[in-house]
Order: sequence, then C-alpha cells, then structure tokens
Amino acid sequence: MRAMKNKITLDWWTVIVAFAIVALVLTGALSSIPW
Amino acid sequence: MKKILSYLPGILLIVVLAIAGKLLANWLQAVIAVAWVRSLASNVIIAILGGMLIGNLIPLPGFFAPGITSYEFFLKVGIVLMGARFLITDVARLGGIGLAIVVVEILFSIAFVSLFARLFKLPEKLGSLLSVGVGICGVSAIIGAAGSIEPKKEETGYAIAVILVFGAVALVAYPLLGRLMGMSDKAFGVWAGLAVDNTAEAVATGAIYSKAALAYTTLAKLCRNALMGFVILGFAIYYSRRGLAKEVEHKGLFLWQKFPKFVLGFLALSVLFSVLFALLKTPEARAYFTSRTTALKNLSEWAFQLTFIGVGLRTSFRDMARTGLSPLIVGVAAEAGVALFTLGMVFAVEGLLPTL
Repeated sequence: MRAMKNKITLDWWTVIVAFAIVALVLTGALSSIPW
Repeated sequence: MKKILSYLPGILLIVVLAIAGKLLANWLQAVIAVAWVRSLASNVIIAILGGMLIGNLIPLPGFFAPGITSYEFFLKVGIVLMGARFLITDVARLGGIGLAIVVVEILFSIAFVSLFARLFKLPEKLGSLLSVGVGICGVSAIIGAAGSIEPKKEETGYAIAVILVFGAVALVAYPLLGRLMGMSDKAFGVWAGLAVDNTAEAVATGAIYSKAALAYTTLAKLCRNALMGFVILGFAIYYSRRGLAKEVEHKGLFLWQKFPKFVLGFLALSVLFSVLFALLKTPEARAYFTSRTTALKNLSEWAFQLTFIGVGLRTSFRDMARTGLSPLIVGVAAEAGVALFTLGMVFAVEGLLPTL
C-alpha cells in the first residue's frame, strides 16, 4: 500500500516538474537551449 | 531529504554519461564517412550500449543504485513534454484507432500467454503477471497487478525478469526486422509501441529506428498504458471472486489510482499547445511559439537520453542468465506471438492511421 502511494506521488511529480519546465520555457527563462 | 540525497549520485552519473554519450555521438557523426556505420553511431544506440557496457563490466558502488533506477521519472517527464509537439486533434485521431487496436492486442496477449503458461504448467498467478506485462506495459503493470492479485514474491521477480530480457532483445531485433521489411516510420513506430512491453524500451526502440517513428511509438504506447487500470481490475476481480486475493471495494477509485497520471499530463499539454497555436496568429507570435516548442522538444529528447542510459545500466546479463528456463520459453512464445499478431494488425490498419 505504501509503495502504491509513493508510486502515485511520483507519477504526479513527473507532471508537476514537466509543467514547471513548460512555464520556464514559455516565459523565456530557459530561452536558449544549446542542444 | 535524506531520501532525495540518496538519489543524487546515481542521477549525476546518468547525467554525466548522457552528456558524454551525446558528445561522443556528435563526434562520431562528424568523422564516420560510411552512411550505414554512421547510422549505428546514433546517440540513442551509444547511450544504451554505453550504459550496458558500464553496468555489466564495471562494478558500480551501491550508492549509485537509487539514482540509476530514477530514470523512469525522466522518461515520464520526457513523455509529458512531448505532448507539446502534438495537436490534440492528431492525438484524438491516432488515439482512437490506437485504443481500438490496443484492446484487440491486450485480449490476444492475455489469451495467448495464459494458454502457454498453462501448457508449461507455470503457477497461475505467474501466468497472469506475464500476460499483464506482455499485454500492457511491462514492469509498472506487473508491479501494479502484483499489489492486487497477491502472487508470491518470486513470481513477481520472475515476471519482471522475463519482461526485461525481452525488452533488451527488442532493442536489437525490432529495428533490424523493421529495416529488413522496409517498414515506414509510421508502421514501425506503431508496431514498436504495441509490441515492446516496457515503456522505456518501447520508446528506445522507436528512437533507434528514427525520430519520426518515436512519435508514433509514444502515442501507441500511451494507449496501452491508459488501459492498464482496466486490465488489472479485471484480474483483481477474477482472483478475489475465487478467494485468492482481497476484494476491490471501490472500483472507480481503483481505476483512478491505477491510471498513469503522466498520460493526463501529456494530454493536457497537447490541449494547451493546440489552443495556444490556434489563438496566436501573427507571424512574430508564431515564430516565438515555434522556437518554444523546439526548446521543449529538445528538453524532452534530453530526458529520453537520460532514460536510455538508465535502461543500459539496468540491463544485467547476469540476472538474465539466472531466469528460469520455462518462464523464458513461455516468454519467447508469447513475445513472438504478440510481435507477429501486432505486425499483422499494423499492416492492416496502416492506411487508416493519420500522419503526424
């Protein structure tokens, strides 16, 4: 059960991190990515 | 906090290897003159092979282990970021056909694997775990199902080992077969997404073939991942009715808990970018917007690069050799059956699939 709870949180974290990256990229904070 | 710190060494190792692999690939691309040799020196292949060599030949200290397993996190972040590249209308069109094919694929896999498991007298729950792994999405589906159908611990380990062995085989076999058959990026991408079990290996297989194939692979694979909850619920009810596992009390909640949230993130991003693209009409806005989408695409490719290093590091040939013979035979039969069946389906519906 605990493992499942962790799994859910981790899954949500991937979404949160991805959207934070999108926000940074859209606002130009990560304006030039060299690769 | 201590837990987060324990991930740092492994993550740093993956990041350093990913950058080194990319630099090596760029250099090789510049110096190799023969085209087909150059195509073998792609950053995807170098990342996976490099990871395998280091993971199997160099005894890495234990403190790297937690961080190395974290590549699944990067994989999912990379998939969510990929959502920005797809118009939601394309996702809906491909996803609609995709879901229909996936339902057939899952039913076939479960029936086929259960039959072989019975022929080779594997324990029933091990057979179920294998069919969930082959039918849906490999390791995470097996772990999800194991929580609900309560198999023995070693049965779960066995099922995961079999899926990982075939993930490694798929990385080599599928792109070779695809080239031999002269498959289009679209057909190959969908095939890899339908037939390769584990999400990381499926994405890697698509990426080895081509960048265009990778887009189709991801979408097809997400259709399978999205259905994971329903299949696990089915098995959970089957075993609890026979008194072999505890009952599922709240079916709606169960489905929600098992639904992969990164699929929601992918869809949300695809909707967001499709709406933004429709609203922004001036050339300047379009240009800025296209540059942002490209940046996100690059970031998602970097997330995948970290994943491929992790896949390579985790692939242990010693563990593979230790897997028992009869689950492996069932695995060979199941994988070959599913590969052929899905290949037939892909050729049958290729004309119906939208081009991304």
